[in-house]
Amino acid sequence: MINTLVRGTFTAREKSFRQVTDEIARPTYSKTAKWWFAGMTLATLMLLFGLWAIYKTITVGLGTWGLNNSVGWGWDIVNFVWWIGIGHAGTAFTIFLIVFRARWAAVFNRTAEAMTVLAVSCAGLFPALHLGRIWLIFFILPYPNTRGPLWVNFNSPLFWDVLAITTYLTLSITLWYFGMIPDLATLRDRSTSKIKKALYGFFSMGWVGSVKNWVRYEAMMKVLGGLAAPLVISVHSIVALDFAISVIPGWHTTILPPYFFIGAIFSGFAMVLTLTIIIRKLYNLQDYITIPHLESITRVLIFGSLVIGLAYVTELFVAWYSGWEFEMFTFLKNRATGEYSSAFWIMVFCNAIAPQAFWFKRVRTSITWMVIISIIINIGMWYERFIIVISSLTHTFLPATWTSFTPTVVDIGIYVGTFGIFFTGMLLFLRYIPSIAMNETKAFSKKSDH
Amino acid sequence: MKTPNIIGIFDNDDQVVEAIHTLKSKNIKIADVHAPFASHHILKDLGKESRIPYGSVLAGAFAIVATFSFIYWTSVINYPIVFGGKPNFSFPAWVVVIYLMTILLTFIGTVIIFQMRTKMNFGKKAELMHIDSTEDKFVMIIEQDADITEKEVQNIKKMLSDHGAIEVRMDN
Amino acid sequence: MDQKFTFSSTLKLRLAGLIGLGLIVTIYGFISNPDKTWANLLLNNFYFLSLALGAMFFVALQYVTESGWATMFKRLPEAMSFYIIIAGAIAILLFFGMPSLYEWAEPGVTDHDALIAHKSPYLNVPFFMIRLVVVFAIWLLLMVIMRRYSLKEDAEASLALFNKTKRISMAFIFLFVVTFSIAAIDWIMTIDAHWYSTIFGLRAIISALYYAIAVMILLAFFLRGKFGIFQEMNVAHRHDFSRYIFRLSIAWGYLWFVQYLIIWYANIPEATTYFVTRVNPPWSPLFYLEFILNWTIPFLVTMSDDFGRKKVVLISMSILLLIGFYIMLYLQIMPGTIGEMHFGLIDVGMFVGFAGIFLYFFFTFFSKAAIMPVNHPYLKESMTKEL
Repeated sequence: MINTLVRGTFTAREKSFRQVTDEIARPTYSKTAKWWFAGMTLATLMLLFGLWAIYKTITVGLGTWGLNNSVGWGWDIVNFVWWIGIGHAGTAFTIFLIVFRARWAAVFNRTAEAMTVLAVSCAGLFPALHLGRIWLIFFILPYPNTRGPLWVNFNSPLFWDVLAITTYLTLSITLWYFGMIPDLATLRDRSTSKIKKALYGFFSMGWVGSVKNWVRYEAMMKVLGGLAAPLVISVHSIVALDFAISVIPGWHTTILPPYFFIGAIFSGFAMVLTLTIIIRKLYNLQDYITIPHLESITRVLIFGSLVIGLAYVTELFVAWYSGWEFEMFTFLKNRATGEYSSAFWIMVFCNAIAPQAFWFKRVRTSITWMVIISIIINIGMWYERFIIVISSLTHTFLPATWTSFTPTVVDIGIYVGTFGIFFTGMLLFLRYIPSIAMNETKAFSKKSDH
Repeated sequence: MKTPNIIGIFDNDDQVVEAIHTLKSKNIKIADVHAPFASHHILKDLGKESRIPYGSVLAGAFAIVATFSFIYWTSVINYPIVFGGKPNFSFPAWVVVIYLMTILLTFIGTVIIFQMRTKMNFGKKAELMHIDSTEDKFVMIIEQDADITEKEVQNIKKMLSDHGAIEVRMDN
Repeated sequence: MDQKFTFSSTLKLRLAGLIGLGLIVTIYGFISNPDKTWANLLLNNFYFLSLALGAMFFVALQYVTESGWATMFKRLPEAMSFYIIIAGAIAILLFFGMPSLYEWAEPGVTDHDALIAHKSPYLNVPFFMIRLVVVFAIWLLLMVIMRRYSLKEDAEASLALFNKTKRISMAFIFLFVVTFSIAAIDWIMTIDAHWYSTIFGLRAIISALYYAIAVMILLAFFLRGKFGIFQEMNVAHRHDFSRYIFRLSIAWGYLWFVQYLIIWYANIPEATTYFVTRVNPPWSPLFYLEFILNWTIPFLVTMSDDFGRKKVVLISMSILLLIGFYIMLYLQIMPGTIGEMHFGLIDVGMFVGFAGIFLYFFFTFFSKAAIMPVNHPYLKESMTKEL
């Protein structure tokens, strides 16, 4: 019987508990770095651009966007789906960590969850603005009103979307926050400044690490993680249902929900890869986020890429197999060879072909290649949503309604603005909260436990 | 007046586990252990179990019934309106709403139960036994019975130090 | 440790009896109702082929995810996968039944059916048979390689074989997903030649894994109860089995529901007719039963950790799951082939016969290797697993 260690090992070297706290929590107590201010300035500028665009949208109206009679869903929905997809990674890590107890997920979980919260907030902004009269947004709630009472349409996927995003945001904020409580308590007990002590103390809810509470805490986290798993599958599936339950060619296909879900995990993991590589460098966390950790992500990316490639092929094949002329037109003419062919092949290259480079160990372990390919994937996933939304809407059943779509500066502004929100939030998070779960790291560093 | 507790501070969770075994074999009740992370050995050896999941199941069952009844009432009884030719009682479409509401309400229910059981809340003052118990020290708390003799107290203290406690003291 | 299982002659005789019964019923079926017999042949062959491939998929998954809990059961799925040999032979035999199974294979159908004429570059008998042979060749090849590595590992303790198997497993998972999608679409979906669903292949893949695990649970308990092997199986393993069932029940229910919801909602005639047939009598009881057996019961039963890992619960749930799988395939195949519901002697007899062949093959190959993969690096971890 072979008794050697077969699985890849993740820890670079043994650390004492105190070292773990010192090294991971360093940014929260040391002086703010220069790059942080530079990043914050850039993020704020982006945010301001976005605020201007939002102001334009609200005061002037949706006419400022590139929408027209045929393309009722434009950049906003593309970006909405893209951001939601990015958000899925955080919850996926939480599930890996809490439900499957996968060690490698522990180092990514906290940052990825922060990404989820921010990405889902960015995503939620788009459909809200798309309402046009955002101040009437409460109409979507089923409350007794004077209009009948005319209740909301529970059969509408748009209502499902609202519910799904709200639930998802609530759940991911809470999971993220409760995951932080033991670490916040640590920071509270370490802080010397009075303000910090008070703030960390306020948010740590009087946590002292009593075993009674640990038991309850673990039980609760297990329930929440267990709930997050079906939720995360359903959220992107419901986004897919917005498209799939219609009769628009290119949208109505039964594989869309699982295919969207895998795509979401795929793009989210790519984003996590990009960000953690940067964070790891800036905060010197190489001992915690090791190359094997990053390799684990690339494995998920290969898998996702294969599934997505397969879905592309299936869709093209079934479009032909269906024998439905509109379906054939959308997939084989409009997308693959027609007006949107360049976008289509960019999408295929970025999502299905480029990530295959991770099969090679040289690529999989090189930081530069990892960054490049993960960014390629994120671009590719944006194109995928662009193809789905725009190519189907510009060319529907009636050739007289055919049109094309060009984004306006306001469209671009809102998209840039969401990046502003995302990066501002991330920078604040990185400055004040340890980016790796310290208590999980300590628990996993104990050999006796596993 | 309450008798003071015996407190042992440990460096290492393996020592805590051993101490728990010894104390348990001597029938001495351990009131609590404060640990910087969820050490599954300590959790298991103290034999504590949470009943929170049962509460979650109840919340989930409530959510299913409540959501279904509400949608049924609004869409079939109170204001039956036909959307796109679909029947008023469109169960497949409702499944999605019921599903999401079940997750949302179960989730909220679980968090509320947790808050109630642990009595944690924003701004609650932490009753720390040792300043490093959230960082790298393990604190074992043993409550004294009223009729405990001085000798037994000394015995427990000795047991704690024998198992590697770096500090043993009496505290309220 | 490296003891072997002896395939006793009484067991052999009993299984041979089952096979004989199935053979007699099949011959009777070909005389009295050939259409129904062909449909049953396809159904049962696909049923057990799914189990065999699902078992291989399970092994590959354990390698790729580096999980060790199931290592001591590894010989079970390995032996299960040998049914692929028989499945290939019977699938080729189906060539003679194609006109009665597939509308598109009837001679002259392209003249009056424009849609089938459009599909004929894909849906024609020669190409169909080529695909069939190719997918079986791939499965057989991978099965033989994985088995050979596994046996070789018993003889020499080296990590190289483990790593090789891991690489083969990755290849297998990818190839399996592609080939099994093709297989499910070709053999089952094209029965309703006008209907299509892009999710069809994915459902078949998830189902294969789902029911293969149910069979593994039953076999593990059977072998433990009757022959006293797998004594090391404890609550931790039962827990993991029940977790698998729980998660796969969610996946199964999800895929089922998504397909139904999208087709029901869009209500496009070509797509909806498929379900209109099935939610109305005489098929409607089966339609609901399928969902209850395959999703509701396993999901509710395994939701609680403590309850789901009880032996009685696991066994009875697995049996229900296998019935559910039969109903699932019955609903996919029968409405389009024979078009009426007459569940009777032919159906039962042929299922029994096929089960006999499957088990006969299983025990034959299970007895050919040591019960435990003795040199597997995770074996110790698997045998001493605690909750």
